[in-house]
Amino acid sequence: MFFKYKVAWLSGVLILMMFPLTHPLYSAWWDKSDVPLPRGAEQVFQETRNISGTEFVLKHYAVSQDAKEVSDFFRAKLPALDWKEKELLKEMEQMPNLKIPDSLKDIMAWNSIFEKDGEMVMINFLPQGAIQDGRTRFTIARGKMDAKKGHRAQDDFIPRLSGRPKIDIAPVYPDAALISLSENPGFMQATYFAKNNIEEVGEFYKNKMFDYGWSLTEEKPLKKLASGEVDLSKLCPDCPKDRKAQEALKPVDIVLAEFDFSNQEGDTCIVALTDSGPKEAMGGILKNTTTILVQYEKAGK
Amino acid sequence: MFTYFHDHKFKYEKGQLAPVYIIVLVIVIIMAMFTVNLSKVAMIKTDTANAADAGALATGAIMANVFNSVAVQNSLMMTAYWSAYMSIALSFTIVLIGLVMAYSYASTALVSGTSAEATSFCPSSCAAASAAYIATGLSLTASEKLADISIAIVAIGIAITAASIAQHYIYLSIRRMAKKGRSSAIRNGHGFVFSNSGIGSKLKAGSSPSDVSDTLKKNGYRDSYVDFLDGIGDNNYYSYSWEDGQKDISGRSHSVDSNVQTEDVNDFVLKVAVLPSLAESALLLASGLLVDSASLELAEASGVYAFANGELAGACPQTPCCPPTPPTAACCAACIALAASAQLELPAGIAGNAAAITSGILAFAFLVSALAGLLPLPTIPSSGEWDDLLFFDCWVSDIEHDHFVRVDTKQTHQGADLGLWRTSYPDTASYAKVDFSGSGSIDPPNPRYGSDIKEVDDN
Repeated sequence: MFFKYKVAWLSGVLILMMFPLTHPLYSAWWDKSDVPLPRGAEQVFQETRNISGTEFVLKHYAVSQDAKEVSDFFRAKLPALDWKEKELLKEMEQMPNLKIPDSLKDIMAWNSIFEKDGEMVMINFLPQGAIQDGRTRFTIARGKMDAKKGHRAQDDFIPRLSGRPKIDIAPVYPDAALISLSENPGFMQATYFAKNNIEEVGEFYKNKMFDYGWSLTEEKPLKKLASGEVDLSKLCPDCPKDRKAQEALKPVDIVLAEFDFSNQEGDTCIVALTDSGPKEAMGGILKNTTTILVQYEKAGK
Repeated sequence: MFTYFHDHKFKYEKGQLAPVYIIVLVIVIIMAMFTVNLSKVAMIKTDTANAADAGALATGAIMANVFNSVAVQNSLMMTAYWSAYMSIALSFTIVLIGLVMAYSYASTALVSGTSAEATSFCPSSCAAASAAYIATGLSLTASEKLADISIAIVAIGIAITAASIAQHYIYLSIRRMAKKGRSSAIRNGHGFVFSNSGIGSKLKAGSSPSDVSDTLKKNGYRDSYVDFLDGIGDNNYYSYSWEDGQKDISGRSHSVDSNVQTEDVNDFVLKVAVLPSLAESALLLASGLLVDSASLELAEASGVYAFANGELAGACPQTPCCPPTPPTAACCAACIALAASAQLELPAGIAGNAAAITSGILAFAFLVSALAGLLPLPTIPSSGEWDDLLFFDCWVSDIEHDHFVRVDTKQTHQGADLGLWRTSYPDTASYAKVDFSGSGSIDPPNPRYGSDIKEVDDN
């Protein structure tokens, strides 16, 4: 009798455990494994980032096969799993008067974009031989494009990185969006995007860093760098040369400021600020914005 | 007694060898003194050789560690570039997909608009209205798509600015670490030279009496020597001199020199993206402005198409009363008037639509150049100044350094005046050369630098 109940009870638990795997409601969860990987692909790191208004999970891999082999692998495997390839390069090549540089064409030929049920998988490669250790680096980005969303707010486009620094080393400017993060023992570097001008952000850090035990050791004055020093005609031979294009090419400058802090332990923290980009851009939406870099280094690192 | 001596003096034979013994004794004493002197010189030589070897190996080992740390940090810099490049390249891809889509809408709108214009005569105004309707919708959709794309381009600009600054500061951190490491290597090298030079055993214990004012006399005490060691920095050359003997009595002077040489770690070679970051910003700004302008042109074209569509739609129900030739009924005249008005309007829409396509293609070209500009191709020498920020630093390609350390040391000891005998010692010098290249490399990062003595003096 007892044995019979036990079997029934165990079967019930087993069915409950299997539920997520069998129920169609959970098929999305199951679907996550439907992008196969080439043999020996090693995932190096993973991040979740907002790209052009869509949240993408980026998984970065290294593999011993060359880019063409890896690219061929995905092009052979994914269509069999109902992924439909979007041939961006072909579509671009059909456009009149558009010259794609050969260096880019090679890379774009390996890169691939697949779509299925409103979801997009993009496989991008680092240029072959860029890192000379004989391994190919590629990234699989996966995100669900919301076609119904329509016209979106500017904030939706900030290239926000999900997460936050593990160590609370410096204040974060109110409502600043995290753009990049690099953390290692004794080292932390984060960049943020803030919707305020460089002077106000600078004042914030000069005042608030004190609360975190930092004292200002050096303040580098505002410095301006201008694109006028860059000869685009030499650097960008494939750039369009006609009148309309030349009119669109305007000089760009960025302003930089740096504040160096240290604490009693001898640790250092640099706060570097730049205004985020050309003021003329898109009706001046970058006019009062600042890119903030916070870099912490432990003493004796 | 005198008589006895007088009688036997020529027969006395004892003590005949005494002068010989005396001569031999003098020679032995001279040889002994010479030997003592020689052994002292040999001891000094051993000390200098040990000091040079120890100093060179210590400096080499630390320099190897410095280069290993640079290799490890460089690997992190590469990973950061990888992450930044991929997310920016993906953003570009999405923007390019959007532009292709907008281009396709705008092109179809242009075809429809042209078709509407071609058929905007009264008998075919229904077909023209339908074409103008399609052109209205498509150009509006393309315009909205382009408005989103222009913001997405701004977002790419934000990501590039943040990434280039982040990369630059990782690079500056590597530079600082390498410079600090070299200073530490030189400091430690001197420390090992002096510690192995045998100075400690030659100095008096404790600190010098307060009434000793002469620096050389003060240096004859170990506490002064410890202070000297603590004060060693990263100069190539340091010397410690002291004088022995009691205070107020002139003693023998001594000095030990240390010269640690390894090249600076100032000359970095950076792998940078094809285009400097400011050029990237300029290209993105240009493409953004063109996309913006295309979006406005399409919005205006859409308005024109919509207006023409209204007129053609008004003309459409009246087409049945309008036989091909000649127009008779009043309703036909209205149809003709509406269609003619639409025909006058439509070229403006078509021109705007076409201009938008041209702007879009130019924006494409700038975007493609900006994307190609992110690829890591050239290497540049870098001094670490802020101006380097003009470039998008990918990673450190090399540090110009011969991976050698050379340590020279010299000891000078004044001889003693022993009355009949005055000792003197020649200046004794030694050197050692260490190669710390091992099998390490900066790019690709391989932290396997290791130190190995390559050369010592043969004297």
